[in-house]
Amino acid sequence: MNFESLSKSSGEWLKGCGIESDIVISSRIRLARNLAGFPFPNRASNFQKAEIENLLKDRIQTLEFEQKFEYVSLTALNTLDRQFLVERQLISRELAANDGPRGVALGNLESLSLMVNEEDHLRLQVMRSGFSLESAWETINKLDDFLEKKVSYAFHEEFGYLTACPTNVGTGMRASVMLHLPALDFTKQIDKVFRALQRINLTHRGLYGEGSRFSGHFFQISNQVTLGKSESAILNEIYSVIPQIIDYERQARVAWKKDNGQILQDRISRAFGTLSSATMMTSDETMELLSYVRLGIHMKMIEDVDINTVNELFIQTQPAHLQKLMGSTLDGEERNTARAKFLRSKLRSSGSTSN
Amino acid sequence: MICKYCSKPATIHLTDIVGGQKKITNICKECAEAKQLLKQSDNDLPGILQGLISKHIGKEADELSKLVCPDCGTRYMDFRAQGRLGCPKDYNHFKLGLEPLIEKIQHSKKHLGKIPKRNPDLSGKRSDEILKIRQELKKAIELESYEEAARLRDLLREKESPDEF
Repeated sequence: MNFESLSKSSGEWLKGCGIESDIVISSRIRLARNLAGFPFPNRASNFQKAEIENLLKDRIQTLEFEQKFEYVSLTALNTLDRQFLVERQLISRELAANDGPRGVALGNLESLSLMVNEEDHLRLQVMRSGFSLESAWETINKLDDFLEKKVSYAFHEEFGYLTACPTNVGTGMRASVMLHLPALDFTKQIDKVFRALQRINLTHRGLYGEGSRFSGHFFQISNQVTLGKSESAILNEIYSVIPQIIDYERQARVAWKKDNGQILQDRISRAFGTLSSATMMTSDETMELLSYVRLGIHMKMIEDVDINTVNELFIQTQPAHLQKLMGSTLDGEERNTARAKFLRSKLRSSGSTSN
Repeated sequence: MICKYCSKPATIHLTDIVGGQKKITNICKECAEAKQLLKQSDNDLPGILQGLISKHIGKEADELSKLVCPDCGTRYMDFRAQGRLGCPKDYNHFKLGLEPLIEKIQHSKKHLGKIPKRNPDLSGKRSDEILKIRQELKKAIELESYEEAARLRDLLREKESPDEF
């Protein structure tokens, strides 16, 4: 797999197209599956993990599915390449950090990834740009059907699909929608939204999933409960609540502009100014400032900046991506310099702020 | 001894220390209750029940702590400490402890979602078979009986692929 060529594009999740894509970044569904007759990865010996890996690798690669898969063994990758896959959301931080035989099968459209020997034997994941859980479910359900013909899943009459952690048992499904909510975050209304979500068994996480920080005003909303409801019932619950959050964010943006338009304009202009002229930039500051530029573009408060360029910059300025693009490994300070230079070259060519 | 109030046989003997002087009051149960001389906790039914329940739970917890999955060797206590089960069979072996826990975190204990269309391993019977064949295979390899090992390997392949049933 040629990671260098991948690094030049934004990947599926930050394409910035699709339904409601000014607020909904991406939709994602993952299914946790395990093979009958093997211990879960946390209990399996390296020998057993290799057996599991070989079996799944073979079945996945010979699958007559609409997409072909390329299997990448994590043990063959260096830390930078692992981090690169985490940044692209193709693998989890847990898979990158685990040890023993494990890997990921990547679909050729970069929207599908199948993790082997993460917390469960198999984690199927599909990603879509914008708000489209339905199409994501269609794809992953079909892929699951294809796989089910090739392997014997651990399934229990009462508890459904069995998983290493009982928080995933049943459907094994986690559906999530990544939202960009700068106005709700800035006006501190986001906590109200989170409390309301909690009451209906939906949960929220940061950009890179469980335990990750809230960065760049990105939030992932997902189902907490995986048992006792059908997949479509769970998806419907998310479907019914996301438009309301989108609506709140839009209202908050309008109110923000109306009440504090000058301050907002200043913030957006400063963000753009800093990004296009600073000589050292950390990853965190970049996320924060790009978030304001993204907001500015969607609120028509900044002109001549291409939204695709900004969406790509969110991922291209992440540490591993940056090093891939520069073609060399860089330490923290070198990265901050390289990042600033990269941002300047990408943003200076176009862009001016309106008043 | 008779009751101080009604002359029935006294069954309760209250001891009070008043000004360094010990004073014993003999009294029957009816009078003690009528005059509310007994402490609430002495005949407090919910309290007694609570005691019974905790005794019962203690026994159950004791039972749970002894549970070990014969297939993967995981102890129920390992699961409670780490939050991860050892193998799919743990769901049967630890059911006593797992079921209430699952109900608590999932607000349900019944799967209503997708069911594998083809040969779901409903009772865990197939994984039992697979485990058994794999153990035999290991033994065959150790004993260097390669013909038997080859036969078992093919059988294993068949069992692991529901498509080829």
